[in-house]
Amino acid sequence: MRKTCWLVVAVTMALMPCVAAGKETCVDIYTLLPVEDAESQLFADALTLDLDIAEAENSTTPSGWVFFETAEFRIGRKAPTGDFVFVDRVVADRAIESAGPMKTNETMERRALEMMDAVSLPIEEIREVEFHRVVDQSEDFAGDLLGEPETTGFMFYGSRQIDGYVVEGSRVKALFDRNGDLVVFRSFWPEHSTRPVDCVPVVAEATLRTQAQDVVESRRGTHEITFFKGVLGYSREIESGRFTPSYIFDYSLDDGFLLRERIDGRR
Amino acid sequence: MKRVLCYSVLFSLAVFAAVAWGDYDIGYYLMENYGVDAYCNNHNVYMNANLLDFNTYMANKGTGWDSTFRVNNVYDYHLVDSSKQTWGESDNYTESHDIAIVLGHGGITSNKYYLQANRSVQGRDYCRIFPHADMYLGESDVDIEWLIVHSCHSMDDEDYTWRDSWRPAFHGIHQVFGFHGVTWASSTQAGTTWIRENYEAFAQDAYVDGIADSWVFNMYETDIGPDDVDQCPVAYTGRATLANCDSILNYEKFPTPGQVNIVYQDVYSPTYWRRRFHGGCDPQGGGAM
Repeated sequence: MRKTCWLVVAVTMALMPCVAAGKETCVDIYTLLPVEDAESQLFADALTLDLDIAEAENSTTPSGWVFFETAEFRIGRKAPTGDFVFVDRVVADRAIESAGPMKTNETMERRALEMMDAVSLPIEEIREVEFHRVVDQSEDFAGDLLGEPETTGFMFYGSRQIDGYVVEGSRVKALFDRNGDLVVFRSFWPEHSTRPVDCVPVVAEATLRTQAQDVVESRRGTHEITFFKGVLGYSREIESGRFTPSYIFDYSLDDGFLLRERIDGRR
Repeated sequence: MKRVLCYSVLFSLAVFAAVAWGDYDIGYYLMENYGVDAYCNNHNVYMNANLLDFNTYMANKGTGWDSTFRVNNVYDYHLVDSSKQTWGESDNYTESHDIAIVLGHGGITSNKYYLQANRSVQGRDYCRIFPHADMYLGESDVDIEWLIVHSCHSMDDEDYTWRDSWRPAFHGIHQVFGFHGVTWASSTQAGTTWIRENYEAFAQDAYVDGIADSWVFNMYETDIGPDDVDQCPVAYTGRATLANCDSILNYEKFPTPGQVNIVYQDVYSPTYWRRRFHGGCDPQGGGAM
């Protein structure tokens, strides 16, 4: 599994404004820009992606999704988060024998980035990119594995940072078929104001870690705790209207489920 | 309960396909509170809120999937088949739904996965449900087609655990979905936004891109770094031929209630098996796949 880290450059560049202004260490605060009208946004997306939605079936969900769907594709936007999905139904349903020449990994990664650009996701906010195979492994009646795992698709996964800080849960995913053609593209990447509206002091990361460990300790009961890691980043709860500096941490009790919580990182 | 008719025009597809319409339903068996029966004690874990958008999406598809939520009072007999233990009643519970979604702690012992029940009859204290010994999924008189086990190690890759745990339980069920290694759940009843999003996305894509792809694609996650830990979803099937294993993993979709659907037939005694997963996926509590 190959991972590409884009973080170092981003951190260096992003921390410059606060330092240059001579302030104490603070984290820029951005306003979240909610999508008020998902349908209008979806019209614009369709135009950008050159999708003909004249005959598309329109549907909505109680959670805020709006979809346009034809026999060839499905696109959707969610209000107010702006979450986006595109599914190429022709690629999803076709027999692989009907596919054209095999795409290279570079071509697939470029396609994912083009999709990000097309739906107005700033590529410079990518923190880390992963690209790996999806595989099938067959077994015979006796339980023996039949050959090596076969590639059935490829996965692109991008996480997000703003000013060098992780945006918890903000991510983009793309699935390609075994021929390298895009099947599904999904993003959870709410838009924010281009300029910060404030810069707030944050608690030292070591202190936040201690506070997080205290939270975990309070959950202990009779159980064993494993505290895995924590990072100072942004939470992206759209209801708050802002990206809020938070300390985000993972832990487990009795080596069971991984559990993620966050505490306010502001001083 | 669904009705199934085979049309002669589809004879050539009859090995794997049938036409079905009617009602479909989902059963949720969520073991959140592990403090009720002391002998099944473990820490609480939460999932109900994470499944609400999934359920709403399904409930609004076509004429709507029916659903039954059973939170906390999930007993051993809800999960165990009567052919395995005389007191088992899964035919009336988990196997009575087209989709069963089970949340619970899970583990491995002697190379076999077990789901930890949170309730059991006192004296029986049957807190570990082993699929290979306790489940017989999908025989002709029950509905279950898809079982989703949101549990650590439910489809673990180490030492053939997935194979030795689930193959003995396949008797007509189409696919079982789980995780290699440790997975995420929620520490509070409020749930976790990204888990909730992933389940809703899973429902959406399972109608257009296939259930297995949707599971593997939407449930894959990696943590907040820097030394990343992955969430490793796995889809598993058993069929009569290798080609049919490939076909069902590629093309089987959730049926839309109230519409005519092409669905795969049940295979009661599979001869070939196939797993779909992320190559190199590296979770907490398990090696890279």
